[in-house]
Amino acid sequence: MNEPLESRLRQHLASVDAAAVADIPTMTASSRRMADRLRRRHRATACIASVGLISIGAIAVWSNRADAPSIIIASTDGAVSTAATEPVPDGSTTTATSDTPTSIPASSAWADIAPDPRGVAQYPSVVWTGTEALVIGGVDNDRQPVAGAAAYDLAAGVWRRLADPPELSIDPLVAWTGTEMLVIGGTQVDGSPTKSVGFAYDLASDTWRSIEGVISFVSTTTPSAWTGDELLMWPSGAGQISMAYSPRTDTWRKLADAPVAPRAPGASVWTGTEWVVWGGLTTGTDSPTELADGAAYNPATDTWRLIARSPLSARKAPGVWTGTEMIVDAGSVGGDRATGNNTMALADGAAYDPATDTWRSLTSGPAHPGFVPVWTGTQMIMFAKDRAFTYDAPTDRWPDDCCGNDEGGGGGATRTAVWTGSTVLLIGSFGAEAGGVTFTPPDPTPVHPTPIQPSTTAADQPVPSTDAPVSCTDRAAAEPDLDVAEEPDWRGFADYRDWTRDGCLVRIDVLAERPGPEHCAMQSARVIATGSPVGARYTNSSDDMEYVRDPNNVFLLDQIFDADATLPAEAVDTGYRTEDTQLWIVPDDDSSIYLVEADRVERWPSAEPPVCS
Amino acid sequence: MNEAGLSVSAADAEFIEILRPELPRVQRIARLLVGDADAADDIVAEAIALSLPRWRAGSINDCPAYIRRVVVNLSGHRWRRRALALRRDHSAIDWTRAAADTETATAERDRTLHAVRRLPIRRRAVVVLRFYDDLSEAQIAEIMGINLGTVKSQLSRALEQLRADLATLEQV
Repeated sequence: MNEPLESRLRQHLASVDAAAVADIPTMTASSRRMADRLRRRHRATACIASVGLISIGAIAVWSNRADAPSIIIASTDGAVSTAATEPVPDGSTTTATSDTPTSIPASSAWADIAPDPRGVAQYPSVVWTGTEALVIGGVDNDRQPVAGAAAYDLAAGVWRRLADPPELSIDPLVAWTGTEMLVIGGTQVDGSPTKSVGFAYDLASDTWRSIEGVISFVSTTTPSAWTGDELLMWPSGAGQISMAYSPRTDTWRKLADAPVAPRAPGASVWTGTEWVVWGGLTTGTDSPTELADGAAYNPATDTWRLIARSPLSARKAPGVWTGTEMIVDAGSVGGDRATGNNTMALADGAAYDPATDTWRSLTSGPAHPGFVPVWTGTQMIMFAKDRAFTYDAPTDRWPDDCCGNDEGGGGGATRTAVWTGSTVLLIGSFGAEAGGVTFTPPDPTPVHPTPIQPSTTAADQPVPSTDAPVSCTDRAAAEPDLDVAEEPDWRGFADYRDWTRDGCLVRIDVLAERPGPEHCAMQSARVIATGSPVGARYTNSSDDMEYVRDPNNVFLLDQIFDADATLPAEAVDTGYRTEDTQLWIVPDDDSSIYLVEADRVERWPSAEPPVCS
Repeated sequence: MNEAGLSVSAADAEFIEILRPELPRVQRIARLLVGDADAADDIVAEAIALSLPRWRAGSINDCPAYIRRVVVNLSGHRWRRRALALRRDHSAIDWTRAAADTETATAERDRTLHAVRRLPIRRRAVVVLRFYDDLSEAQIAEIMGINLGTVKSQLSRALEQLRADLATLEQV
């Protein structure tokens, strides 16, 4: 059926206007003129930057903005989370009067970076590509939007201009996909939202493309998460629709309704499988109030779940993802939304573990209403205006010898921070002379983990039983599907999910569950590999069976995953478990497996996932 | 000195030599994507201008593929900006008009090009690169910066849409 159409396409496409193409000298000459124009523009920009450097006398004074945005925190893997910030007026009220570490005089940890070639830009939106910070938006000292986009090469310490974005926008929501910077929404000069603005910047070709179909008001204050496949957005306000954008397919989808109220900035992190949002501020009412609840969204199932009650009081607070927990620390309540005056800063914090749906309280640290947190791998660094404090997660303490002041006055006030692997890059102009600052954190405290006790446990969420009893090792000698090691080497690799039988860990070459490859944007799917029959070991990819849970059909398979299946009468329980989920099979039928949780049955078809190189 | 009488560096000369045999085909790809000869030539010139600095910096390994990628990206952007105007005035798409004007044009060719024109830009790009440029699906994935599965799905959906549109057009 395809053959006649394909032949027809080949024939007719080849016949289009074959004669009148411009010749190579004309084209290349035209291109050289265009390139020369580009070079002249770069030279002019460099000249303007130099003038800025010698005009240090004209230092602008940072002032609070009525519509203080949240901060975009971009990690090296491209994950983006929004963090609540509030205007930080001088004289703002804080509740923390003790146990606040004293910062020391200026240290070499801080260093200014070269001026942004676009000019002074406060509160820009930034993503980190792994080598460069891509910067767009921001406002100048007169609070006018800053045009253009630029990239800062941390290794070389130089800026370069990027192709101009098609439209101006203040505080757009941004995310890095690995190849593109997504730029969605934003606000106008008067603070009103900009609707239907969406662009994507392709780093390889230095070009922009339009993203059509933006249907809600989105900005940096919108809770959001980049999943590796989609940008999830939860805008607040009347009539706003939660949605997800997939740059891979250039399509949008509406998210299921959340079980909690929409909110402006709150803690918002992506865990690898779930998007967890906690706290924040209700919007769209005359008397917005801080929230103390939260929910987690699973894009694979398009479902939300309530998360356990936090020991923290209601607040606007940022969050960071440590790899296992979401830390919510400090934050604020109250205050005049226009001026930020009388904001009450909070000093306590807590960590949420989505695997166990539990919270634990953390040692209280400094209080500040506008902290910008950055996670470095072992430490959380909190930036506040011209100061920084570190929280040492393994020891649950705030070292008292950290971290000096940024005498240049940038620090957290620059509003946008990225962790580059060795340095925190804070982009944005505090005054006129620098495009931002870098902060190199002190060496972390040697790790001496302290036992962690959950402080809050969801009533219906038992603690997983994957910490097998000692007897599992002995049992493994006689039961070949069990793993002899309590902590086998494969744990921690490739996001394998633990499966157990009678409380003992199952060998990975008997039953292995993993997500699809992230670098091919297939992580929303999951694959279970088993021996044949289930329970036997497999030795390589040719003698195993693979079963696929692919609700978004990213594998493009013909076999259909059924999220609401009926368990066949002849099905039997294998005894294999992962948390509360049971694995059932139909004897002598290896075409599907069934995952049963409470009264819900999923059928995972046998399939061969595509090779992703 | 090159053929246009301009002084070029060795790197630029090499770039031009690599591009020379590709240029007519790249220009036609641009025309098939944006449907306007002048706009297509602008896109190709812009693509070359954008690529030259990266070529000089040694960051382009596969020049023909890179140029195609930039052309596809620029075409997508221009297409979106022009979409409204084009919807109001289909005659602005001069390559379809040219097809009708030539003596050898057939009704079938007209319908085929008309159906291709109605494809969304990404599907159109996949169709053009596959059936005009004879690229493999893997090469298309590389050029468009998308994964192979997306190319397959876009191509499948494009053919499905073309088949349906052609069936409708042939009934008119």
